[in-house]
Amino acid sequence: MASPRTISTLTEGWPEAPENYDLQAFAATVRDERPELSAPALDRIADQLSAELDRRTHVPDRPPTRWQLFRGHALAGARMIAPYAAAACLLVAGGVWVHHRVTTPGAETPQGPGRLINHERPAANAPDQPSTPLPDPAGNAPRGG
Amino acid sequence: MLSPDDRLQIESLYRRFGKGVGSYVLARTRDRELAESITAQVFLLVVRRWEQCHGNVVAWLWSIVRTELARHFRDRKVHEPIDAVEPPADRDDAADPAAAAERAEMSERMRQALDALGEPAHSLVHMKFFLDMSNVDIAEALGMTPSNVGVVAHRAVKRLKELVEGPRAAVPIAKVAVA
Repeated sequence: MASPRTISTLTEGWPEAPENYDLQAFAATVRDERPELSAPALDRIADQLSAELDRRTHVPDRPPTRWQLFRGHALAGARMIAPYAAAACLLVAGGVWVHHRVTTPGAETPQGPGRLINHERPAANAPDQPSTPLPDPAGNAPRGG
Repeated sequence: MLSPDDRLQIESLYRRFGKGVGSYVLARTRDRELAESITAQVFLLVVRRWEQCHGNVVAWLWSIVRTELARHFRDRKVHEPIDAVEPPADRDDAADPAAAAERAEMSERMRQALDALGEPAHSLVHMKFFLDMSNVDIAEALGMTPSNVGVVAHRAVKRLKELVEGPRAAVPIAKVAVA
């Protein structure tokens, strides 16, 4: 037997009419006379539907874990900054090399071997400084001892 | 391929209308095995053609149901005997065979009267009484207004009552158009 709620749904939007009381009862009869598939039949249909959906549904991969997300972001970030880091390392290394070359005593300088880069200039003909004997034009042994 | 959301929508569609579609198909075919087969086929087609549904889903489902039934009747062209459909299980027919016979005759007259309704009353009545759809859903599916659905439904039930409770004659009920 159709419930009052069902009858209300069946008679939804009906215009007012004197025969509505009998029509409501008849509508309930129409609803009650409705043949129905059995529950097992409906379950079998549901199983077929489920199997077809399984064949045609794309199942996405399991959601990534927090560690996988972190690793992914870290790798992506590393790839982005790698060129800049390499350039920075080269600059730093170059700077260190130049500094080392400049500050180390006896290090070779662009001006020539054995010359110190300082503001002091060696005095010309300083005393106690053996001067390089000049060759004798006559071919004798150089003077000086 | 269907997305998980599509799957949920289709499963929801079956939960909501599967029983009603089965009832409608059973009322039209009067063969339980055949009705189960056609109903299953309807929802399998829903899955296979889901991407083709661009408008109202219920209207689209209803069109598939009508198409599959029409294809069945076109292919088979047979009519099942009057006792192919079993009476509702909650009735004790053994206790009162006369009442059972009267109910069977009533069911047959009801079936003929429903089949005699023209469109859109036929679809409207079946959507209302078999699929338990609201006037708003029926209006959207059939391209009508909810108020018009109520008026047409009232008129169709009135006509059904006249057809079913009219004089009991062997003359087949002619198709009547309920605008």
